[in-house]
Amino acid sequence: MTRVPAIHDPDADLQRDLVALMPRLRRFARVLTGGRDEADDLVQAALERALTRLDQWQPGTRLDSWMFRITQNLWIDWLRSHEGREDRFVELDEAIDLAGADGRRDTEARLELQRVLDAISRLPPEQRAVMAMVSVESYSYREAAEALDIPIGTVMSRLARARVRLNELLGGAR
Amino acid sequence: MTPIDDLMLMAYADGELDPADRQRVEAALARDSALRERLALFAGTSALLSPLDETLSEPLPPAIERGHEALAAALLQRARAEDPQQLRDTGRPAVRDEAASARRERGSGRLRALRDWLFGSPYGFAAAAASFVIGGLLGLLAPAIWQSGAPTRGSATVASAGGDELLARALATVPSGTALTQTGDSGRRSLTPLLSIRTADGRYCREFVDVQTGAGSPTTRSARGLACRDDRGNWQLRVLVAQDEAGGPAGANDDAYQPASGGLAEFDALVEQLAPGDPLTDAEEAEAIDRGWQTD
Repeated sequence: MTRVPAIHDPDADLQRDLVALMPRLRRFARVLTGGRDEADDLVQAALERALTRLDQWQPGTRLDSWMFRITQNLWIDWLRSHEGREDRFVELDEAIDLAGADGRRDTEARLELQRVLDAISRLPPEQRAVMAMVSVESYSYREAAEALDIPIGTVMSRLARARVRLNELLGGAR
Repeated sequence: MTPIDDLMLMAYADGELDPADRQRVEAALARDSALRERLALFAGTSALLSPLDETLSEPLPPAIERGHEALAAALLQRARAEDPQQLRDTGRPAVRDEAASARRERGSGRLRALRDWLFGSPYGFAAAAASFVIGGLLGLLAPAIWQSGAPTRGSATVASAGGDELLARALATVPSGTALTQTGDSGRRSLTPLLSIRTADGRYCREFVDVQTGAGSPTTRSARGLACRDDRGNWQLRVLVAQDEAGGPAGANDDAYQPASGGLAEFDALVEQLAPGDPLTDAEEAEAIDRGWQTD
């Protein structure tokens, strides 16, 4: 008995989308927060918030955009409620990550990751989500603008500034 | 002609320009090496960020797995509530001989997706260390079979004293695709009827999933079962497939979605054997629930 999902089954699509989305959502959260534990807390909170706002998601529209938006908004809320404490979070998480990196089979990849996260943590918070959506998730400017509910011109200006700065932080050493 | 600024150069690198602007940028690039260097900055961002992909292979924490599970079930339930027509269309088979394949087909809709998801997710219950226990049940019930680990055959009354009241309630009152959840000191248990069947000899049977998560523990236990209503109106458990899940993704991150497992195929075969018949449409099921599953 084979168990092949029907080809144009929208629910099977939804399942696949959700399963595939979790690692991407964690990567997105990692770009925002820098630290793994904080990113996971953020993803978990975003899932919980999504559960309370099911009516906001339209079946047939992109589930990932909706989740990215919830995650981004939640994180902005967290930043506001922890005003001035963000730097402390990042330092703490870095310390944990670097300690945990010892003895990993692919320490080099972990260090590369940490280096990129360090650079991203020096970008203004509002630039990180835009950059993650366009340069990591390959969203179009319009899709990113709609998902984050900001004007397309704002997407572009944040994005350009983020990329120039990131290049200064990371580009020289390569 | 205005100079090519960063925004336009970036939009060119990202493939966001219309043909006219694209040509203009290309003409400028052809004669300006400084501009080409600046373009490389924008074109190289994705490569600079590629070490982030390392995070994709990190195991999902159990809390996220559970949240993901809850969201999937809720989204399916909502989609189902909004679009009952689609299920109805795949419900009742036109030709009697096609009942079995129609059952599978109906199962390939939302509810099938739900159960494939619950049991087929690479992050969930398809962990490599999973072991299946198959059998109709005698001593009853998920907790029992998990404790003993021994498959038994026969049937057990769900609703009798000392039986599984939550399961009995779910089977009697909850529409397919809807979860009945109980949270207590010992953890969380979620029962979701998946499908109702009217067998050839006029009995009602229901497939369900049973997911239990211990409080403060990453271990999730899940089971799929078939229960049928007997002449006296009690739900009898006929088949239970229990699965222990160690709670880790077993390195399955690369290729999403691998439904299938021997345990599921066996379960399906047993259901075909024990409850051959037509699946109920949503409307028929709702009516049966209203009537208390009386057959007359």
